[in-house]
Amino acid sequence: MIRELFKRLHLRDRQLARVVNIGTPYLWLGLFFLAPFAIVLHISLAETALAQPPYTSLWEWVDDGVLQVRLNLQNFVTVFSDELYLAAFLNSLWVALVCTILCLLIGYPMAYAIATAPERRRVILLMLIILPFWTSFLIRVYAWIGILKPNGLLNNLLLSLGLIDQPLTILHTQTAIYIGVVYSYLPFMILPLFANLTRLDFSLLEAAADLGCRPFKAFLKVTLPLSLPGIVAGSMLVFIPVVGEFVIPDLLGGPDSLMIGKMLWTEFFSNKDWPLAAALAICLLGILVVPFVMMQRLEQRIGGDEL
Amino acid sequence: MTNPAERRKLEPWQDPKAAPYVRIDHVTKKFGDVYAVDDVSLDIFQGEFFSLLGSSGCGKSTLLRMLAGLERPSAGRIYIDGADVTDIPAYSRPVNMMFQSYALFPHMTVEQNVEFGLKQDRMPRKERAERVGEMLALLQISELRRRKPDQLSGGQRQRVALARTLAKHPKLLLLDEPLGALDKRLRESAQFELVNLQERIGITFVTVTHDQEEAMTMSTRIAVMNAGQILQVDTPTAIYEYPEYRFVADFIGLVNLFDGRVMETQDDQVLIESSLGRRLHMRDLHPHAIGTPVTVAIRPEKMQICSTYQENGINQVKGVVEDIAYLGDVSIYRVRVSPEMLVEMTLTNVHPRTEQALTWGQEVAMEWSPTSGVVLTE
Repeated sequence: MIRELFKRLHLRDRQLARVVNIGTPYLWLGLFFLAPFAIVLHISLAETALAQPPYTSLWEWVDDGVLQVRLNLQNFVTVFSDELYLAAFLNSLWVALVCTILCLLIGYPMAYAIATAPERRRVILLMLIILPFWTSFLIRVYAWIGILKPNGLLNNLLLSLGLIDQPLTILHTQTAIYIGVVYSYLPFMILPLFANLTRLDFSLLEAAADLGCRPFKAFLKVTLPLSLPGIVAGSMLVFIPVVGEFVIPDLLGGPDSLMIGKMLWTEFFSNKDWPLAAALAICLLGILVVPFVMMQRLEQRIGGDEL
Repeated sequence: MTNPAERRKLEPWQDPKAAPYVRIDHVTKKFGDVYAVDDVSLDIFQGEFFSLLGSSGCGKSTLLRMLAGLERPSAGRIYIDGADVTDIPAYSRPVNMMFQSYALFPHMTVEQNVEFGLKQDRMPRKERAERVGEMLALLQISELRRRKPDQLSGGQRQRVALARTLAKHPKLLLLDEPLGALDKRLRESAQFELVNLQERIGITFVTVTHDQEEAMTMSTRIAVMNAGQILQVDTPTAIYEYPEYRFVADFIGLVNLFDGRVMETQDDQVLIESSLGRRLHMRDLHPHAIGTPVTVAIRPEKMQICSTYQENGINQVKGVVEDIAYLGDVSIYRVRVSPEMLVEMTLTNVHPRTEQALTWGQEVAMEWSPTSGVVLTE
């Protein structure tokens, strides 16, 4: 189809194919990342106004053809000086870190088990990992409210087993956020790890054993270093979205949970302070770029050897 | 001529008092319902270069993996140096294996690969560095020490794999198709290197191969396997010249097989009425009773052009050259002797090919001597 089009345009196939090949991702990035980013950056430098949209313009014509540009940095000053935002950032990073580690600890053995399972069982196990995606994310998180609430499934089970006398308060705590996040993001850890571990040459482990290495040490010396690209990919896929996660802290964490995604939501929709919300978003992006670049570096360093 | 004592040293399996270094005692390995190795018993002696030869799926690799401890026998015991190692895991056995794929650790340099086994033994750093240097020098790969496996050629990888297995100074070295990944020329030089190395360091080698040429060049003895069982264990010469089974004769090199029936026997001489409609006179080392159906196996290079051909002559056959395979040093002639039978004859190309007398469609008579083949029943 596209070829036909090229021919009609009297362009050489290869030349145009190259333009399309390189151009498409750039177009995509420009349209759906750079343009929105520019808009958000633009809003973050404006002031709140009782208008539609609720912020002032950055530039206006004053007399004699002079263009006056007003960049308001107050929003960024607020973000960095108000301890509430700082605490929210730190807590978000902490939650993301804890959840990434938990996902890794739970996900690695699962990915390993799937990768080493017989072919037929592997397909079923992979299906089970992907199956939850068939239900809406929101519904699955709501379901956790029913499980975790004071007279919910979990508490009733523990009470009936006689393990506790009083219902545990889990819902609306940080623990509930951990549970919800780990549950929701586990597949994003398992899938890249699985993809990596299926490519692992198990004769390497036999070679290690043959050279006198016990199974656990062989895991540490051979399997783990070789699966590092999978660990990095999975960790990024969990860490980065969890830092900005809004739905889970809002539903499971209750009104007092300090997560930056939730702050952003509040500023944007409740307080109608678009410029401050935009400044928060810019800062969040800035924070996420750091681990992203670090991991990219790491992946390049180790990736060249075995990928 | 070697005296008997020397002969015992060179061929310890001839010495009834010699204790085997590796003893495989009625070992069976089942995968589900399939017998990969079926009740195999085998003794291998110190300093041997022993080859397990067979087509793929014959159980030779499984047998080797059981020696390494990577598979557990379903039944039977394995002894190494007198000790029962059947239940000892791979990481505690005094055995090292070179894998068919080489299984080099891709995230480690050549040096680190070779050092890996030594580290597991907690060898002191200084000693370790010395040993690694020694191994790299032995296999002439010192200049590659900082490279990673994906920066090496096939031949270099093979050397690294060998250095890694040799580094621990194992008493028994197992090689799984060690030269399988190399091209023919590299392979030939590697074969000689392996044999030299084995003679120099004097350890026991057990190797698995499907390549009969490789087995012939390198081995002190060969075990020919088929369908999980060992058919014959012998020196390369004996395996080639005196096969005990049709399968062995057919598997190693080219062979002409003539079916027939024993007519007369006298001492170790036997007269056979063959399906060619001719009589064959052979020496038979295991005399068979009159009337036994037998197969006579003659190698193509034992065939000679016959100058005094007679109708119904003994050990003679006549046919028409149908096919010539020119191999440079020799040519293989496929001669149609009856509508259902082709006989192969190998002749050395003494004269340039263009000046040779024998050509397509030509009638040729062939003969062989009674000692140039064997009489088989199975």
